[in-house]
Amino acid sequence: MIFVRRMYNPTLIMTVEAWLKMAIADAEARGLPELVTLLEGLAQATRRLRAAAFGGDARA
Amino acid sequence: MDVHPGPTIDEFGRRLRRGETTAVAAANACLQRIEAANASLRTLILVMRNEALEQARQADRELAAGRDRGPLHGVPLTIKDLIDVGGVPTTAASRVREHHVAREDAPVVARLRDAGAVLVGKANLHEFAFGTTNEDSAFGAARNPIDPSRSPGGSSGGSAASIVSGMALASVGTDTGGSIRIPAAACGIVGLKPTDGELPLGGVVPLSPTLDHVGPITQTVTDAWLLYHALAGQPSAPAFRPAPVRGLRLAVPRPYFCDALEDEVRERFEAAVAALRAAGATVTDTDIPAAADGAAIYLHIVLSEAAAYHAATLDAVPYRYSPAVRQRLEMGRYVLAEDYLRAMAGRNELRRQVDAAVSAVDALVLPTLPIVAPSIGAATVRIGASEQPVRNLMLRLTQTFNLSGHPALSLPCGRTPAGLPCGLQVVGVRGQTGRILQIAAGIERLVA
Repeated sequence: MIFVRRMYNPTLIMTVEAWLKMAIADAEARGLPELVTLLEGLAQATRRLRAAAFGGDARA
Repeated sequence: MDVHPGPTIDEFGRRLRRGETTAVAAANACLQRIEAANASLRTLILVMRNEALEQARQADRELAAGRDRGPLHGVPLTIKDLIDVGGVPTTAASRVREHHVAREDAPVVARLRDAGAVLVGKANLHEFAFGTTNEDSAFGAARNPIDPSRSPGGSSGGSAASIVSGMALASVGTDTGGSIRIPAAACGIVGLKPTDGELPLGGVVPLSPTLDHVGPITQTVTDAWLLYHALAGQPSAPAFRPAPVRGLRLAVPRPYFCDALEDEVRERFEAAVAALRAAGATVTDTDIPAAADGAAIYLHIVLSEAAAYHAATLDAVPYRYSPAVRQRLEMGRYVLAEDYLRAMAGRNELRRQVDAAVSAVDALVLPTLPIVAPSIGAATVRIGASEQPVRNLMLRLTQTFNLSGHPALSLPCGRTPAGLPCGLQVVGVRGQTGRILQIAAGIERLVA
């Protein structure tokens, strides 16, 4: 039941923004705040990669 | 300026076989240049003086006894210090590998020994090949012999600098996003990334196994032909005939690849295109649309694969990495598996598009670097109205062909008024590296 609710909760979708927030929190917790700028740059690249839609679509 | 190149491999071989020089004389000339310039240029991490002289004496003895191993016989070479030479350290320019000693030669090094080459030293590089300027090295930043305030390019910067400064006649480098072609362009010489999978990667410290390539760095395309064949296990290279430029069908992928060039680089490139047309080549425009996504594809593959290789040492001895390289590797630990696989699918799409672009012509031609060799310490370079990161610019025009796997070569394409070299990149059909060398040799005569 919990699993189903998580799957359909739009706030828990793994967007690039959600990933970036978690990655930054983790980097800071590990004492690596200098990674923040680099992770923001990686997030831009990830947005571009996902927008290019190279990964296919399970509905297609 | 510390530019004192020795003879080409081709020229040295002719003189050697006419009895006008010896392998020992060639090795000594290189060792003298190392003595004179290595401390200031930081070109070599290890000088193999005694081993080199013994190999050279052996080469001379063999030739006197009638045994000629082929074009590499007695030729002094340097090896990027990312590649194993048995019995000596492979430092990868990193303190992480302190006390490492290679147990045996990498297969490409064993082939060079079989071909009679003389190994004079291990060349400096960007730490673990994870950078394009050579600034991050446990042995100090390698410097460009043409202008020591500038980078020789990277990551095989010490390899290219060793040739221009006369410490070797040629070198062997590795290329994951352009690390052979970038320093070749920055130092005004020739660098070849063969078709992917052609040369063995055993005994080479990996950066990204999907994208890593081994290849030659030389003064001329003819020398690249000779060294490429030796690396491929064919020490007696077939006879080399440059392709005539008249009748060549060439294409320039203008969108993306010509969008952001320094003015002087653009002038040299367009002059080269004009010279090719004047000599009878047909030069058309083409497009590789996915190239604009190439940096994103490249980043997700190389970061993930590098992070996986370095995970244990990042946890155990993080302080032994230079800060910038450590940060880049740590960043790779955050890439999601789904994005890595998207990038691998993007690589396949890029390969299809480059296949389509090159199948209609004999070769693609484009600049190798959008800028001249950057000043050491520069983080950004201004192109037009915008400041752009040096790292992004250095990889911008080369990484596409690591992703696609096509053979790509950089050759000199004139110099700016300040004397800084520009490079022209020639890209061919996958599996036809020899053909791209023939085409490049025809072009070299016109534009170098």
